[in-house]
Amino acid sequence: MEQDTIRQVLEIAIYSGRVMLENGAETYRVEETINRICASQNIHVESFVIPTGIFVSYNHEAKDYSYVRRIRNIHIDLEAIGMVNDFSRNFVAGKIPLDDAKAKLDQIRYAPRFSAPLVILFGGLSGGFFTLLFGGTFFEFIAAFLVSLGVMTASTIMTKKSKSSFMRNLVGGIVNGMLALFSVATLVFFGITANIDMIIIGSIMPLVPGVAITNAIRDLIYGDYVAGMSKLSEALLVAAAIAIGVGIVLQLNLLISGGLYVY
Amino acid sequence: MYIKAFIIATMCVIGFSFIFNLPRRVLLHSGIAGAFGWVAYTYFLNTFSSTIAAALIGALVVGLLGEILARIMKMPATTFVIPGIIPLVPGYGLYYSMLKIIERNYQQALNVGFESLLIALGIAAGVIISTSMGKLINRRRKVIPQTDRH
Repeated sequence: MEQDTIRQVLEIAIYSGRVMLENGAETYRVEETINRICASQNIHVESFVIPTGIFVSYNHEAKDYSYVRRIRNIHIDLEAIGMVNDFSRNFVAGKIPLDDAKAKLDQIRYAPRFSAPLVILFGGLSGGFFTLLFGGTFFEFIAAFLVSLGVMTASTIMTKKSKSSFMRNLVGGIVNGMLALFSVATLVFFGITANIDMIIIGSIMPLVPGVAITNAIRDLIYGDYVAGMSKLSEALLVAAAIAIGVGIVLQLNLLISGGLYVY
Repeated sequence: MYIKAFIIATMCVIGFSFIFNLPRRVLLHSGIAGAFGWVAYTYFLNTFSSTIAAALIGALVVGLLGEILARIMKMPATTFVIPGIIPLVPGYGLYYSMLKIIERNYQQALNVGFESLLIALGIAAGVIISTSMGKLINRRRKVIPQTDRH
């Protein structure tokens, strides 16, 4: 086989794996996609995927080819995962020529997403409804919705400004704590009793790493121990960042007002 | 009571689907799958009074609905499962346990933290069982093999 063709196939395979991984696909799905795309062109590679990188190696006529791709900035985008899944199925079936593959993947990678205001609005709504789901009152629902809007806005801005998920969630936690305190104070001012825990439990939901920890354990059960452990540490770190953010605000409130509105 | 919970859970899941950039045409499907999971969770929580078993069953319901919807809508089951398990997932527990560590209440931090880990284990197990069941159906029908290895 031509060396150029091998290189091209490997690059397509790794690129599709990369788009999947950056959009939060499961580890085994990424490895399978890479292997299947290569195998469809009679290239039998060995691939190893962890959340922060992709490693692929291939041996052909006593020559070794190896690729390392560092992956950063993972978010969850389920539409992109589905599209790459379709792409790999069509590619394996021979419906997509090798030369068009790169453009197709670019198209998926830069496909339009929901606009930021829409995501903030619905993320906020979701936060409000979580408060209701966990037994909050109507006024707590309204408060949680508004707090959650603030948290989503802060988190969206921080995603653009900073690559570190720790900083992003720290700021999210601080905003959450301050707005929750403020909303409880406002409600109390109008003579309505509200529980700050109920407001926080809903509005913190868009930040909290629930899916991350479930995916971590899913990877561990599948036998992807390195991927699982790294996702687990990410989840713990994110939870710690949020807790530090909220904790700072609550402790400051304790110092300044003696724990008004909280206990 | 279950009907009210069903509607609220649907709204929660749909809201989250925007964060996960779900395709517009499956927003409602994933919301309903997630709501069924939440209702199953609350029902079994009331009967067994074990959060972990209830979370496993809830995730199993979401996963099976996800497998069915995946075949109807021709999309990977993850599209429905990831938003669907959102109400069950122990993210708040994890955060709460970290908050208790900051407040130096280590006993409660350990209690909540371990429970969160076990709930996550239950959900992961439920999802994996449903995925394996999906694979079995696929093999019997001799459809093109899925990408997954389990």
